[in-house]
Amino acid sequence: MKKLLLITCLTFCVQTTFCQNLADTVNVEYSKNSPERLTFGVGVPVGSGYMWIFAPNLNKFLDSRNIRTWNIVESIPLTINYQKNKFKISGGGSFSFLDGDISNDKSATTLNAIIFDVSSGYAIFSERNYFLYFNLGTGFAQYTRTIEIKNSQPITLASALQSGNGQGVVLKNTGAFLDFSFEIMSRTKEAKALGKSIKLGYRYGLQENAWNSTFNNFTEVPSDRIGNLYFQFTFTLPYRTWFSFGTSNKDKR
Amino acid sequence: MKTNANITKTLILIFLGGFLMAFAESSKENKNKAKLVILHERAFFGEKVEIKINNQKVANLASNKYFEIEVDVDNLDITIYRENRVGYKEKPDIQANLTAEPDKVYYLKIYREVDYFTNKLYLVRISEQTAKKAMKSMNLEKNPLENE
Repeated sequence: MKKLLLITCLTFCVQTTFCQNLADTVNVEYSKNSPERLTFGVGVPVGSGYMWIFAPNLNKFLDSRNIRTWNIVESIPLTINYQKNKFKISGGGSFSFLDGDISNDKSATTLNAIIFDVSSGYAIFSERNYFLYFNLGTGFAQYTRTIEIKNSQPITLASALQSGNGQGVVLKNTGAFLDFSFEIMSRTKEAKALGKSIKLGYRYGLQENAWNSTFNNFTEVPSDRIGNLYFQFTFTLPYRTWFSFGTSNKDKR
Repeated sequence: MKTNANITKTLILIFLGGFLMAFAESSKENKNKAKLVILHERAFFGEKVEIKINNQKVANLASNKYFEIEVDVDNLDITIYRENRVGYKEKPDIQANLTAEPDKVYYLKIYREVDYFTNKLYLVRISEQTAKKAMKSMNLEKNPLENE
């Protein structure tokens, strides 16, 4: 009961604007560097990540056959970040499942992506509460385009569908990419505090790769150098206990 | 002839007396003044703040700017309002009190602390050394009241 009363009082104190006296000087300087810190970045299933995938050759090929495509997919980002001074190293992935779906009376398509990458960043700007990093990285992506033809179409893909497993054509494109991104990341006052990261970047396919099918070999399907413009929002959860190196990270910024 | 000289002397004395009185009045006015230098720390997406001293608006100050103002030696009530989408908030974010002494310069800093669930403004008094170091990377707001 006493605890409840204390919490209520504290909440009230926090919400009230009280008059402070400016008689004495205080030191409110902060270091522009980050203390050594390890954090996990976790996205939520809805609204945390979006990718706009550019596969121009395949899209053109499908458009010419009256198959509609939608190239924006939602994803769940997961990262591990290590920060020290102005530098940051991150590794992780971004996963989307059964997304980018669009259909009409003739066809239905979906687009998915699985991304793994590592990147290093440098804080080009920092203030009391946030860092702005520029990240450079590399990684590996697999994009999957599923096409289902609802009515028989006079195209090779449709014939393949009829003769295949009947569930649709699954095309996969796998390749490496270079990643350029800007990221705003919380500079939490305490190492245990929950932070956030907002990242906007572009993954540039390193080479033009073929779209392969598991069941059929479609020689007429073009290859693509895939680009991927992405946005992601993650909560950053600190992992301080195992990584404090014998020093308390409390109140470090 | 002697009368004229006396009149001239009297006029000179009156003029000198007036001049001295004006000077004394002016230095008395200066003695009753203190100077405030208010700094608004740089922040991402930092909003402008409205500053009132003794309920009189003295500045709209953007982030990464500072301004200087002479104030009467008095007990100063300083209130700061944060800008939102429709203007300045009605309820002050900061209410502070400062007893200004004559001929003194006070350096005050406005800064923001963001935690996951809170986003609060603070006003503190900082040392001259700290303030001058911070002011090197900030811009002086010359017309704080015109900055709407």
